[in-house]
Amino acid sequence: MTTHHIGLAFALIGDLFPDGTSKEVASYLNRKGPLPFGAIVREVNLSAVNIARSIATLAMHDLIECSSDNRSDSKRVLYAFSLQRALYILHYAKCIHCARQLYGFDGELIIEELLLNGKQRMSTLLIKVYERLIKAGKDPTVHSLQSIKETFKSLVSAHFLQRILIDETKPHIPITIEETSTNLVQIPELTPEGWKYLISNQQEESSEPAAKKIKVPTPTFGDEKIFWKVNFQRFFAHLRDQELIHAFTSRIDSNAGEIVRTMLRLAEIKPNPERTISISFIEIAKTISAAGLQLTDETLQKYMNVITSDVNNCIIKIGDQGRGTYEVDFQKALSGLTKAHIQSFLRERYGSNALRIYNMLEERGCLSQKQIEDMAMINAKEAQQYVYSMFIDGMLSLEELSKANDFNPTRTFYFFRVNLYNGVLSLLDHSYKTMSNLMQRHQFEKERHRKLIDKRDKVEAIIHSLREQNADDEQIKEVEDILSPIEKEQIQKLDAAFRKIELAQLQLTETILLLEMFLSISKSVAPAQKKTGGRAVAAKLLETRS
Amino acid sequence: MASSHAKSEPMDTSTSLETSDFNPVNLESDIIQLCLQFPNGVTDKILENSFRNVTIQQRVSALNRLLSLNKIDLLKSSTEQGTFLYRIRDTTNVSGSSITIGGGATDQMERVVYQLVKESGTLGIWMRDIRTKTKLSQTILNKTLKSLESKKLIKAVKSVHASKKKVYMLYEMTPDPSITGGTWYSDHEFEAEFVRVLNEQCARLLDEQLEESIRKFPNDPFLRRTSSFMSSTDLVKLINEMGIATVSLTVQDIESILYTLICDGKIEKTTVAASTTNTDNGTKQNLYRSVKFMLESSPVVRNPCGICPVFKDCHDDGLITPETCIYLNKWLDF
Repeated sequence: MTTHHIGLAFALIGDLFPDGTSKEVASYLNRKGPLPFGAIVREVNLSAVNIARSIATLAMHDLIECSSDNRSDSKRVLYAFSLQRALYILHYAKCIHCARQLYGFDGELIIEELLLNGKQRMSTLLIKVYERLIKAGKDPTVHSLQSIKETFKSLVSAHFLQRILIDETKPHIPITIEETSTNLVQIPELTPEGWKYLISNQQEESSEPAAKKIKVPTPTFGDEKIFWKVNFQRFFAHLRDQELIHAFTSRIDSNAGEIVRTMLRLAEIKPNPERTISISFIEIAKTISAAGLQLTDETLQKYMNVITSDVNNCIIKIGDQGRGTYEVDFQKALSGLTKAHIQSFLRERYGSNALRIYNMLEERGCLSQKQIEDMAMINAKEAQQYVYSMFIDGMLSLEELSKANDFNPTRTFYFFRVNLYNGVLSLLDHSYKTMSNLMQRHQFEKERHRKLIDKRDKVEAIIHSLREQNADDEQIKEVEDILSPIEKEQIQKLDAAFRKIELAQLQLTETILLLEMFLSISKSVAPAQKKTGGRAVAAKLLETRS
Repeated sequence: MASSHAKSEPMDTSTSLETSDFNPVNLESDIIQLCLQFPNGVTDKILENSFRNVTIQQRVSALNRLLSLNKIDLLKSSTEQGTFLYRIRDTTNVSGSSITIGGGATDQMERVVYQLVKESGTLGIWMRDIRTKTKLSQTILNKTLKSLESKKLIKAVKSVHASKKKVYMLYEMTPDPSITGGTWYSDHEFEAEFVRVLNEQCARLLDEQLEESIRKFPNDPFLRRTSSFMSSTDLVKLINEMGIATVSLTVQDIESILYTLICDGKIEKTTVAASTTNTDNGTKQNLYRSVKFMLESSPVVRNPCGICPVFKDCHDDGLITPETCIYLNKWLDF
């Protein structure tokens, strides 16, 4: 993990948990590795209670993982900081948006609550979401507890939520249940008393607030030991599918995008990171017509023909059962999409000539400097410049082939080669640094204009309360005039700037997600590295550590 | 190669009296006849056998005279070590004027150098190669080359790839394309502008074809795809008709331009083994088609950090930080 990864992760944690203790504990754990509680208390300069509290919060969010110390047969629990999980905080906004699109307002609130609290019981979740909906002014008949529960059920069945059980023998360590198709998830049924309690609460809320509250002991809801958390991999798969559909739409046309969308949806039944299951043509045709898209069978055949030859050949025809069986190969899809990102990066940063050189090298394998100049039809000096800047950036790698036994520079061939894995690593690092730069600038601007922002917030609050009391327009105008026109202009500019930064950050998370998924799917085929020497030893150490 | 060894001949007047009926001129013409019979060379042995009645000295003097008259060449035999061959010299090649300059030694060298240059044909021969083959010193070689050049027998041609390297070839020959660079080089300079114009034209033609195919078949993706293909031969015809280039371009030239377009990501290529009605097509045909990008622009480059030239120098607490970055300032309108 590079400096930029770590810097960004801690900035994100600092944002999510504004008090400094969590950040300190986490950074200490990150430096030292898995440690038991006693060691942490000894070294970090905070009270044990605070440390315990922050560890508990971070563990709820899975930012700190608990494992039992197997070496010394004691019952000590080791706490380890998970950097990867910390970087997932970047994608929270996108996950919530996904939930909103697929499951409406209820789904959005469920996911939001879960993300902000780490893990929760279903009962507490339902109550909280309901209360928020009512406060936001939604109609309680439409968004009733029953409907929220239904949304929850559908989220679980689509694998967006995962269940966690606590193992009785190891009470400190939660285990996530991997949902297989045979073990259909059991939504815990709330006990009847619990249900009555909730409904009575609902009725109380809708009526006038009672003057006197009857003291009723909170009943048990029957799901004391069952917790739920968000399944990030599932959300990421969904976002990746969106990117793929988008790519097909821009390459062919919107119909092709729709076809790919149905294919991916049909394959969701059994999610597998590498490839989907085989889908037959008849299934696609049926689902397409059910979805309302009017395509005849022949047109669909033609589309399948065109689709199978696009985007790095990621949709493959396997056989002819059911008039044609097709599969989506995610490895190819992801590598095609990341290549597009890298190409766009090179095009904007160095110019289209550099992109030409890159593509040529990719096709031809390895080329020497002289051959590049000849084949690319570019000025020799320019070609040299591009090749070396791309090499510095990590997109190309150099290979030396010596004619003699010693590597005399006059008697060795120097070949340049495209290295996609390294290129993605360097682009990812670049994106993380950009992200932290944007966050830093945002923070800085907020601090710099804090007075102005506070003033504006106060004015807004006053106006809001005045409006509720139905004051006349003159009073409202007076309040608005507290802010001078110059200040109003400044505020407007500031708002526009913040919006721009946030938009850039959001779009950047798309790229980051794609690149991370590509790296994780191609870890098994990382380019072979030398097995001897200092570098290899260091690499091995890193492997055992992470 | 020919190296003149002057064989010392002892002046033996006694022997010459004995063979007074011997006519040296006859001997020389006989030797020439023999050489003409064996255009690849006559060894000493054959000469000995053919002219038994002639002494060694007479033969040797005849041979020396013929050598000095440049009628025959003295060569070392590669098949048998230590023997010499005499070969008739093709007099039509040697221009008579080379004999008159500078004395005998220079003629020989000039002739040798000229022979080498001639053998290299249209590719020309590098000075260093001449030196290794003739084992002449630098200064003498330079003089020889200069004299040959002033006589307009050979010329120096600068190679387009290595500007310091000069190759020599015969005056009348047109240099090989590999030295001048071919269609893309004029006056030893790469014509980037020309290549760029051709690039754009080809891209435009293919784009037009794509738009037409979209117009013709809005509902059928397969036909849309197949009708947006254009073959390289068609493109060559169109480009030549447009008359952008002063020379007419070949299919090879256009294919190299199209290859650069593929690397730009704007077109894609398929090869079909099609036989069309056009009879001078080969069995393979290359088809090209304009494609749209998969991604208009990556989000990495939509903010100033993506294309910042000092990205590597930007740190939290350095001279260049995000907080005071001028590029960010401009982007946010501050």
